[in-house]
Amino acid sequence: MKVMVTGAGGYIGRRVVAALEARGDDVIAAARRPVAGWSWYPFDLGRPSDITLPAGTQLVIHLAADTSGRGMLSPASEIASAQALADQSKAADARLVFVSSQTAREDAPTDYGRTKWRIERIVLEGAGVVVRPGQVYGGAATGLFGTLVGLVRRLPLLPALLPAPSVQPVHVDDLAQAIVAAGAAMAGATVFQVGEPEPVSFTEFLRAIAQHRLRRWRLFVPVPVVLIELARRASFHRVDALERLGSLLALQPMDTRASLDMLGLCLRPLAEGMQRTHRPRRTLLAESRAVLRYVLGTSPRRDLVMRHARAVEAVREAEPLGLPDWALRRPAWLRLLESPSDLELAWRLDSATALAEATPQGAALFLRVGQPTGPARAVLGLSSAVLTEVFWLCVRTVLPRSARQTRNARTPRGRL
Amino acid sequence: MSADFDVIVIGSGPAGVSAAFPLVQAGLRVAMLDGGRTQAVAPPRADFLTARATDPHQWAWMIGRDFHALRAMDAVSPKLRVPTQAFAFEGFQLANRIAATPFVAVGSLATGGLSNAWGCGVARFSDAEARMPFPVADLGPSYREVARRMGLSGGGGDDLSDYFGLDEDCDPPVPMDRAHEAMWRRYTKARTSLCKGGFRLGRSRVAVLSRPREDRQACDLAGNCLFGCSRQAMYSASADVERLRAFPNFHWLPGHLVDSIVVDGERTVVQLREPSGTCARLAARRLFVAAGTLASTRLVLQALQRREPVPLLSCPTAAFLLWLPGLLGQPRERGFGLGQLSYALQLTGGRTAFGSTFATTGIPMWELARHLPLGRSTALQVLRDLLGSCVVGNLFLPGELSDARARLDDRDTLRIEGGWRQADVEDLLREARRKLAGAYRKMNAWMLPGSFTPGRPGSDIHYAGTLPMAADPGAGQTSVQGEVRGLRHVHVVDGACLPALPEKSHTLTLMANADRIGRLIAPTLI
Ligand SMILES: Cc1cc2nc3c(=O)[nH]c(=O)nc-3n(C[C@H](O)[C@H](O)[C@H](O)COP(=O)(O)OP(=O)(O)OC[C@H]3O[C@@H](n4cnc5c(N)ncnc54)[C@H](O)[C@@H]3O)c2cc1C
Repeated sequence: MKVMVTGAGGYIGRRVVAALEARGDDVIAAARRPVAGWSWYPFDLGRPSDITLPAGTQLVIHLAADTSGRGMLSPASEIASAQALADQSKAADARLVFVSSQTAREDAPTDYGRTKWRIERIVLEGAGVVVRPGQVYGGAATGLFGTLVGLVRRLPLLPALLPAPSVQPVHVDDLAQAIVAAGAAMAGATVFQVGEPEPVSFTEFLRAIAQHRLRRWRLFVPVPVVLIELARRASFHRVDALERLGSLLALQPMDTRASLDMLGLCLRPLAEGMQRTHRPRRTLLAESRAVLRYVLGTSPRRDLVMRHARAVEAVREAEPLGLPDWALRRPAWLRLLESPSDLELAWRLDSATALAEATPQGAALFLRVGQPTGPARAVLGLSSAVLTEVFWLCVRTVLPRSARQTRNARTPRGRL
Repeated sequence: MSADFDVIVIGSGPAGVSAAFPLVQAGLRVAMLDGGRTQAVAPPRADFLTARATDPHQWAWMIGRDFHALRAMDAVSPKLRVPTQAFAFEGFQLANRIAATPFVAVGSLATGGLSNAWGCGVARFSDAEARMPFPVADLGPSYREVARRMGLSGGGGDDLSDYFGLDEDCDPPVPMDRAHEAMWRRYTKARTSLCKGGFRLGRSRVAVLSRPREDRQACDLAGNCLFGCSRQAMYSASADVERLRAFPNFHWLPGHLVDSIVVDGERTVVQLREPSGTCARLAARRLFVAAGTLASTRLVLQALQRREPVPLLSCPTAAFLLWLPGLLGQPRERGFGLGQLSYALQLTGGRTAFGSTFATTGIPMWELARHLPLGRSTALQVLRDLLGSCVVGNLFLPGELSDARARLDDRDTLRIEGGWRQADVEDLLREARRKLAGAYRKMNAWMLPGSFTPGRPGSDIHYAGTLPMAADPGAGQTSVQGEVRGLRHVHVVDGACLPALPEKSHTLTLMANADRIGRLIAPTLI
């Protein structure tokens, strides 16, 4: 499917593009500046009259917005841009998904919320769908999440607002999945509310950043909300952070269960989502080479190694397993690490087997296409397999248990 | 507003097209709607072994550029992992609001429906099996008609001729491979004693061409059956859609997703979403619901606003691996990838198990390797030397053993729960395993220990019986014409209206029944 994503270079946009690409879609990143590695289409919210859809677009995901909070763009131009997109999507028979905000309300306290609300009307009128995310977090520390992570990192003391406003967190990758699913859902003119169904207090959310993301301890000092309200009134200029807090306090809870059900989504727990994922590609490639070598019994081609690493990234979003050095150097010894409880290693082996099989090299090895065969060879092969297995079983029993574990035997959930 | 069409058919699967032919041939204005998905990844053109040995990009159709096969690792059947068939299953649950636990609910939004990916097994039902509110003989002409359209093969007289009841409609079988030839030779020798033990063997009757027909070519043993046949030797309802489109009174509306149905006086109205995403309504004098058992059930229950659970029939299944030592070390050969030989096995309580055996060449080996209790490299070594002399078998038990229910919840989602009558099924499977192992042993084929694996509830994908036909239909039932009690002029014409589900393949029967209903209704609309 040909999909245009506006705001593709942003915090959410990057993850949406990754999710679409993993699904095999043909993605066009519409942004002001080219995004490295993606096909680019010039798009500027400030110039609504210039906005066009690339030919053949079937789905438009509209993420671009002025998130500076400083009103760099006029609401009028944001709205006009949305109108242009809606009109063009309709003319081209393309579906439009607009990513709005939990603050969207006709009488929202900020321009931002009111603009979102007006754009929602435009999109819904054209039978498009709206996604309203709760508090987005996780992944790269950019966007609003980045600001919060930065605050928690810098400040040893953090405010615990009283009464505490509550947020409904959603991991940026879960949100990306929700947006992609909303693009495929049958329902039109629908608002999907995406976030944890049970709200957590904002304090809890900051604490999760400190504990699971930064692994630091932070002291929370109670701060009555009225003080903030007073500070906001008293300050002569608009103070950015205070404005934002103001809109946080005005948030209305969302009932997200029905939307999550319809999108077939199960959000990851906050503690899990806060973990930082970094995937050093070199380690991953080394592991892919090792598991492929193990299943093929010979050196894999480079393109096959790359493909396996990409599969692990795309399907598992997983970190390297942390295979010990000896296993990387002598992949046959991987036999010692295989165990029914290490599901992640099993997945790596399954995918390596599947990808290795789907090559001419694999066909020769597994199907014996173009290879000599015969009963004697088969008997020999089977006996040697049995002997090898017995050998490794013996080695396993004498080896201490601790030597037989990958560093990362936990099992990340596969995400579709 | 008057009706836009005489009849709207929801669904272009085997049921939809079978109902449409008699209506269209009678000159009625018929609109057919479906999910509109079509194949995105092409199957190989060369035969399987050649393509595997030479195609550097084979991973695109074996795994998928988006790693489809790896994403679908936990799906119940290799078919559901094949990238070339992904389109046949994608998006179904979300669009039709179907949720299932622990049941496996599979459905389609494709042109041609699930028949894009089916196993092509066909059979007629007997009176006792069908339990229709009319004699099965009434289905006779319809069975004939659909068989003629599809092109069947496998007949020629054997111990299963009566069981399948299709020999008059069948072309000769597609040639067998070495392994099946060997089993067949042994069977003919040990026949009498095997039959006495309640085991009968015969050629599989399949909707696959052994002779060319119109624009479809005959099977050439390329072995790509799992991935899809570029020669169209296997029947798919999408070929019938093409033939229907030749009629000027047939209106083809792919990509029109029906969300709900309403009865409005003399008209029936469907609310739908067009490919562009806009909502629309279409009206007709009659509505034929053939969205596949699960989707049809949701549409009908929603229209009735009926929230009591309805029974859902589905066959318990199992799979096993047979080893033919006499063939050890033989090179892989080209061959037919669907059922080559079928068996019917008598079990206690007058029940029967049915199944077929298949070559292992066209099935990716990683599918099997991950189930062996060995280290991965050893498993591969073993399979590499053993699989060439193995065949896989499947087994179906009657759908009456099913204990699943479908219920429309408050949000109008169809929730499917339950599975089988566990204790009965366990006993029967144990008995079947023992008897099959014994029977095949007499044919020099050894059931590999530990290979007999029961399938998960629903994984048979033979769903039926949610809105059963009855002579005097009660609430949630349908008339002899498939008309839903309480929804005038709405006819259910797919598996949902079958009152019973034997262990046999049921698609041919649901097609014949759809044809019969089409023939009954056509004259009343002219
Ligand atoms: C792997 C596999 C193997 C199988 N093997 C066999 C076998 O060997 N023998 C056998 O007898 N059966 C087999 N089956 C089952 C067989 O495929 C089905 O019984 C058969 O396809 C059912 O036909 P149908 O027309 O009722 O529904 P489907 O084939 O499911 O067609 C449904 C149609 O409805 C449309 N539709 C669905 N929802 C909507 C909606 N909301 N709006 C508009 N249109 C909609 C779809 O686009 C599609 O055109 C197999 C199935 C699978 C998946």
